[in-house]
Amino acid sequence: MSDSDKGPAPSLKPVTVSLPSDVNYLDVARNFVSDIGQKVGLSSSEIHDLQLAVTEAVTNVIEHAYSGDTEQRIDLAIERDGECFVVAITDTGQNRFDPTAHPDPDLKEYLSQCRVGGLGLYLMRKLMDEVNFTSDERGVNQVKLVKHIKQ
Amino acid sequence: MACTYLGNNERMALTVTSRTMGSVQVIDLSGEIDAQSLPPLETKLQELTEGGFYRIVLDFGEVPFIASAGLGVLMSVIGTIQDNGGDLVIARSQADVYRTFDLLDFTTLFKFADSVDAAVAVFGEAVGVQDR
Repeated sequence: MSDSDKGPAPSLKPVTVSLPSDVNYLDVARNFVSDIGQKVGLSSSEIHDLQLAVTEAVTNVIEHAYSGDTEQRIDLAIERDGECFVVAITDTGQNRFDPTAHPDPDLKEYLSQCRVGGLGLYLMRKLMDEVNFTSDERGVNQVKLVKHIKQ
Repeated sequence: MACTYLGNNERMALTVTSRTMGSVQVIDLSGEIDAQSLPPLETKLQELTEGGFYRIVLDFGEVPFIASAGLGVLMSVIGTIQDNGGDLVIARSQADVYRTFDLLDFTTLFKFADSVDAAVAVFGEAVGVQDR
């Protein structure tokens, strides 16, 4: 058995896909995360967490950045660098996301009001080790989801 | 070059069916629940609550994934259900799905059961040959 058969590669060069900004492709985004996650040896619960965070991030882009316009594009890029598994989700939507305007909700109060929606960002923050939003002057927005992988 | 990624897994559309066990409506779910797949669940819950059925069990045994959009649908009906003396009990949730509920404190709002029979029993319904 060669070393490469014993475990996952410690690093993975970026793998990218482009998806339409349409909820019909949420499962495709999840399958992509699952396929690459398996390739680098993530556990099934790590893959689940990444799938959930990516689903929430892509749903937010479709509903907020693109305001439901299904004709736009969302790029997903996955890479693994040592202990970090990183999924970058990039869009060019008009509505830039300001995470500072969305502090974590008080769940007790939230649930008592039976509110609907707005929990996606909270879940992303709970599931990932890092969630970073950036926007540049060209109108490119990106959220980077980082999960530290147990060896 | 960008291309549309199709992946190697079969698409898991959500199927939603319901059955009656005594005074309880059991909704059997199969598939992943996200913003795309949830309309049939939303419709079924609306149909039941508008029809005056407030004792509901959701069988999550065949649901490997739920996103917050799916939790939002449950949130949208739980108030009406509980206000009418009913409840919504979640049966057979898988570990990852239960953890999603738990991360959002939904485990304080909804009752969970290990089996559909145990979920139905929450409403005081005798199930099978074992009378309680």
